[in-house]
Amino acid sequence: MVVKQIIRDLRKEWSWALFYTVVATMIAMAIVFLSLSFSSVLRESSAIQSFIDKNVVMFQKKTVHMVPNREIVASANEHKQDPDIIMDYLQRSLSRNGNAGSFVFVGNDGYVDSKYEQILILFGQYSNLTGLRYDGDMALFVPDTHREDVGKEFLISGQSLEVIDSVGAEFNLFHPMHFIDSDNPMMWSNVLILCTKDFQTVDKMFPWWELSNEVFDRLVLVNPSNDEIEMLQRMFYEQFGTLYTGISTEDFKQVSTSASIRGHRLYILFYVLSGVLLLVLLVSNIIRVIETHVVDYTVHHLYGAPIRTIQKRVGGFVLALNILPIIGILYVLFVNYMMLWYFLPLSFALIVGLCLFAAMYASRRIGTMNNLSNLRRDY
Amino acid sequence: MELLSVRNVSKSFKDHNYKVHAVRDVSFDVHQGEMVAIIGPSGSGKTTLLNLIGIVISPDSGEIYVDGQKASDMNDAMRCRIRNQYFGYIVQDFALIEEDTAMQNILVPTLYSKHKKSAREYREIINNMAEKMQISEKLKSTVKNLSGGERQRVAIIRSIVNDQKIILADEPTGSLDKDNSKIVINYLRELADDFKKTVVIVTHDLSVARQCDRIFNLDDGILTPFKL
Repeated sequence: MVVKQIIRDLRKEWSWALFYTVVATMIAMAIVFLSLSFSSVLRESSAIQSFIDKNVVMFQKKTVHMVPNREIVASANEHKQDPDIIMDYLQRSLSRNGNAGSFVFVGNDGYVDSKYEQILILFGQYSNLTGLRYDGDMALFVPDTHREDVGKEFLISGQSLEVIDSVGAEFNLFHPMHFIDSDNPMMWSNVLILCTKDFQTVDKMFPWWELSNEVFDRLVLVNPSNDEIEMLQRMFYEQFGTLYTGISTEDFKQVSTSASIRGHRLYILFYVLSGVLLLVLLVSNIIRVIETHVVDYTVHHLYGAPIRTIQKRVGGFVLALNILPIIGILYVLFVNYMMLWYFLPLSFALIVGLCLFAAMYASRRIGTMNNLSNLRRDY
Repeated sequence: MELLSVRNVSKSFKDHNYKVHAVRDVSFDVHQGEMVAIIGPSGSGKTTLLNLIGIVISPDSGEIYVDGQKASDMNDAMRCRIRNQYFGYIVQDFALIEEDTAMQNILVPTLYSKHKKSAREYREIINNMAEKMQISEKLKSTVKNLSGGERQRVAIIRSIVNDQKIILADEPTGSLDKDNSKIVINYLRELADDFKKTVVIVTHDLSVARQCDRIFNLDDGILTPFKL
């Protein structure tokens, strides 16, 4: 009987129920999405800080209009691009004793099991910057979703390499110009990670990928001296005729992520306030519904419905009103891999709180001193 | 035997910093088939007294007996059961659920009855009463489409659908015109005379009170017999 009454109450308030479901779902999704996005921004910020602490300098090729200095041009013309110089530089700087690092993605063109669609090659210091440690000149790592391959040996272009470990669930790849977050499962679930401090050997393993070009696109130096930076820029200009500028991570942060973090904080504040307003409106509407139906509840109470029955009816109505948007939100989060462990108990606590509030308010309103006054209009 | 017996009942409540004695040491009995009026100025405690008689609330002191049962200190569930079995309510603004039909409103007491009849039996009872009160064709209408007189007749049927023995009426003619007021009071009189219902009417209208067997005056919480 109580269930029938709840269904009738819902039918009377269907338009509000529908409106509330849509608005609540939209705001809740926006808050969750922004908070997760903010988490990603925070992780990026943390990675940036790690780069700053290590005084990592990144390099970018720049196209500029320059008036040629005839002496340098003449000198440069005497030194046409010498691949040996480039290779020698990369081999030294990306070795265990060097302070350079870079990374390249290559496609898995039949190198290993087809479940790995790409191979991420971390050169030199980049494995340290991402938190991967290994002995020797080369090592393989697998994503956390393929831990079963740890200990196996893969044959890649004639090189037999053992998978020594997984990268862990929190592995992310940061470069001042790129950031691949750890909670990007589509990215990390099918990538094999090859760490190396022997550029020449790996270059021969992937000859048609022109790794040196890509390496320079993402080259970083860890705690370089000014002389090292100048030497690299001069070598680059002499070999490629291109300006190769370095920027410290700290300077880069000033112009990029700080604004992003501020922007995200503002969005989160906006949506949290909207959420609070939504909660206030929800509670106000619960009170409005009870006040609108106070005659209904009073009549039922007068004619034999115990207060407990009225409380169940009102609590059940509030539960039914809120259960649909909550289930909808949780389902959308679940299918998008955004479900966090505390969402379910938090949602449960919120609904129980609202139901209890509604039930208590109704019983206070009905079981009052002048019950029959609920049924009178004051003239 | 008295169907309704009120013994030394008092009730007060706090209004801001003041203690208001709504009902002070009230005692009276009402027999079956009797129609009793309680008159008094506004704010004299009439609705509070009606709440007490109808065991909607408990007195601070004193006892209330309904058909020999001491109802004043029962818990909420027991009081609900007694109310469902013995009491019907008619109030000034009809106390009907506007979005429901007349039939749905009339059936409310039957939802909580311990001695449920079948749906067919209830329909028959209601149709008979509705015919007598000339609102048979209005039973399927939504309450908001009914006139004041029709609404009050629906409320009267509701107050006796479970064969309740006591009807409590709080200003039953307050929202009605003269003709409809007369009709309603005549129905209540008929219920008392022919069907032996006990009717307690709270009113400030002396012409309504004159229709009753006895009149009490409630002033500042004190009940005294009233002679016209």
